[in-house]
Amino acid sequence: MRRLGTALAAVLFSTIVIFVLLRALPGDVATTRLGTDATPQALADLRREYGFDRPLIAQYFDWLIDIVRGDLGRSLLSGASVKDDVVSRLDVTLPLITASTIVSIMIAAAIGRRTALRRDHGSGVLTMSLIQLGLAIPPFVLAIGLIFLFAVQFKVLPAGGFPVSGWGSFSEALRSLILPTVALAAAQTAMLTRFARSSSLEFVASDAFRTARAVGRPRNDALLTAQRLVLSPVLTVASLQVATLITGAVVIESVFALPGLGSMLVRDIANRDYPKVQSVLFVVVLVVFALRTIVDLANDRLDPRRVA
Amino acid sequence: MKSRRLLVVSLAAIVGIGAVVSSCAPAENSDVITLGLTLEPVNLDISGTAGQAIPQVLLDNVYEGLVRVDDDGSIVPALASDYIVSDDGLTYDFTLREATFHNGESLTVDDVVWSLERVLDDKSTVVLPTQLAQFARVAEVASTADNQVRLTLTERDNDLLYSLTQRGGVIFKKGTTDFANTANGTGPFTLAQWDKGSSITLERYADYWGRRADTASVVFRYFADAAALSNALLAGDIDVMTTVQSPESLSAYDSRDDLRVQSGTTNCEVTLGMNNSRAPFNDVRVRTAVRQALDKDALIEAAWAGYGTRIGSFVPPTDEWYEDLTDVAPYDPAASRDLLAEAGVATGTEVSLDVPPIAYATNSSEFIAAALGEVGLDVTITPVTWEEWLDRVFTKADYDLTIVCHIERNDMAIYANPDYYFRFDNAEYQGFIAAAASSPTATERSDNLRKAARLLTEQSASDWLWLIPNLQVAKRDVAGVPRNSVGDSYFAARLERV
Repeated sequence: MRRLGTALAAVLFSTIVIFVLLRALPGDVATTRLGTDATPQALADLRREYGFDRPLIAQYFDWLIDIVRGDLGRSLLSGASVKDDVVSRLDVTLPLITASTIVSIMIAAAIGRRTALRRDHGSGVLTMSLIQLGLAIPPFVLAIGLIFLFAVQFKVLPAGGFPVSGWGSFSEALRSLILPTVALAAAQTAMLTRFARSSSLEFVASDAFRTARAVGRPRNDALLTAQRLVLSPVLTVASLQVATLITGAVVIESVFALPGLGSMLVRDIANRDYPKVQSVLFVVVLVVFALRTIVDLANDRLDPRRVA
Repeated sequence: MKSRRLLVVSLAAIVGIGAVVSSCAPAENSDVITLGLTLEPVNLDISGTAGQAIPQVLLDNVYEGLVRVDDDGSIVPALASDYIVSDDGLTYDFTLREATFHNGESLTVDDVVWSLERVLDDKSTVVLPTQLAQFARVAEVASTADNQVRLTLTERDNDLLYSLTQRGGVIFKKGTTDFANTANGTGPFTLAQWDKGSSITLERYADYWGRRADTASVVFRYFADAAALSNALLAGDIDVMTTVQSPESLSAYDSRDDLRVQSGTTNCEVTLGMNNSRAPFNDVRVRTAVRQALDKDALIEAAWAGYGTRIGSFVPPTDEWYEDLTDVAPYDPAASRDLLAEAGVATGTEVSLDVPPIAYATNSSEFIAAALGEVGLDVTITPVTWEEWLDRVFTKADYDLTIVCHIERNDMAIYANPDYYFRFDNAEYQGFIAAAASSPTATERSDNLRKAARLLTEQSASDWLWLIPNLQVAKRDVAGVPRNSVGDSYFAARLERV
């Protein structure tokens, strides 16, 4: 209950931050629509039409009441419903983020455990070096490298884009998300592997592991007991990283020319479509907080030490 | 056991993905041509929303005006089969041809009158102010017969025909209300689909009044990221890259035998703006000194890989009134230093150069700062966002130096506006521009504009660094790529795979 209260307060606070920060940016949607040659009179007229002449506090509360009622508003430029726009963009962004999260957690858990067991072996050292490399390479550089290799040189995958018919062309849609998923998952995997490894190491050094070995259980088998313990911190970090993934998606979607939430957000910010941007950001914040709460609850179940 | 299961699942996923990768190479459809562009429209409202992205895809392709501007810059009939201009230049009579809108309805004089009356209403908030200004001299539009429309002017306007070829002259079906999301035009293509954030698909209009489009479908694909655009071309995902953001990368395409680089002209003059109302640039000697400190050939080489034409004033060589004025303030650092000394500008005087985030500006800023440093001006380069540039530099003219490309056609009038961000206030120049606008003959108009261009460069109102070429890269088997960028549209009806 307390957890929920904190989350709500944080969400409320974030609405203020979003609203104020957007207004602090120079320029507004009236200049986007009327262009650089617009007369001050024309701009003022349009701003009045949009209701920008009203006190900021009133504009804020109107928006707040709308989003509490579940109404995300409409874009000032296209007139399209923000909800529809978000839903259609999730076609790309949701699979992208989900796939890269799952891929990175699976790989991180597997590698983390292996390298913990072979921490003195050459192969373990090599793997960890590779992981370091993964952390060091910016995702967009990796993305450009992947495009060059798989799209330009070998021509086995598209360089970017998403089919016009969306998931209706299932295999085409899947193909277009492979490289973006890899690029987005790489840094994520590298980071999560380090956490998986350190918690595996912790377990290898623990009494529980020694006891398990002492009673004759094979090493691998004994370590499997730790599966849940290893997964728990990985999940926590992964949930914290969702926000990072969304910002990562902004970059990756641009490099791969994907019509996702991130690329939409960048464009709408550039166009100063405030009502739309603030509602989209609100949804993102809401998702991040929801995920954290869910992971917190899941951890209670995963970690035997936390089960009451 | 769980770890093994995880591994098995991962392996299965990888094998599955591999199968998908190998099984479905995209099918070739020779009747679709895909163009790669950078700026996507924010909506489809061609008369109410600014920016080139909307007319680029819709003008001449989906929407048409009474007249159209050709690739070589000449004005040709479109929805009007014919037109007559009276000797005093105050009456334009257009004869309409038989055409249908994409929804099947016929074009009538009522549609033309209704569409043009929208841009004559100077209080309109649904039409762009620039459009209203272009038609400010038109007093009335009326039908004189079933297929005749007459425009009556209060005074001569030599730009009217050109204005009619652009977004303000588009003919809509009378009573159209949703401009932002639909496009019911008369052009050679219908708007088939807009996949927001990704592409706009046009399809050949079977009942077009004129020569039908050569290709069944043209896709305008948008890439926010220039590297993504280039990759799409190299990977074969698009047929034409309609803009080259970094000319130094052209060698990568030149070496490929399936691609060709095409260069044409634009109206885009890269302009080094100087604030004529602020010291030290309120002194013509200082402005001339700046121009003489810059070796333009070396600058074009450094900033634009040598592609680009030197211009000595604010006129592209394709304009009738062009005159080679590149020798008016030639590169001469010694003369530049003398002029600065004469104007009393101390060595080490600090000035700021505001650089917007676009390649031609960022690529040339270091060169300019170094060259001006040579003659004694201490230049601080200040990178600015477009929003800040629009607000502080363009609107408030709170700047010393800046670099921006001016792309509008016949845009010499901006120097006649003393409030424009150059803050160039010269009565003689304003006189030439006014005289040009009301000149009874084309020759007289050209004479006035030629004099204006000469005065502009003698006054060193700005410096003009180079004219940006219209560079495109296309697959060799694609024909009909428009060469020049003379209006706002990207005419796609002659594109075809050969």
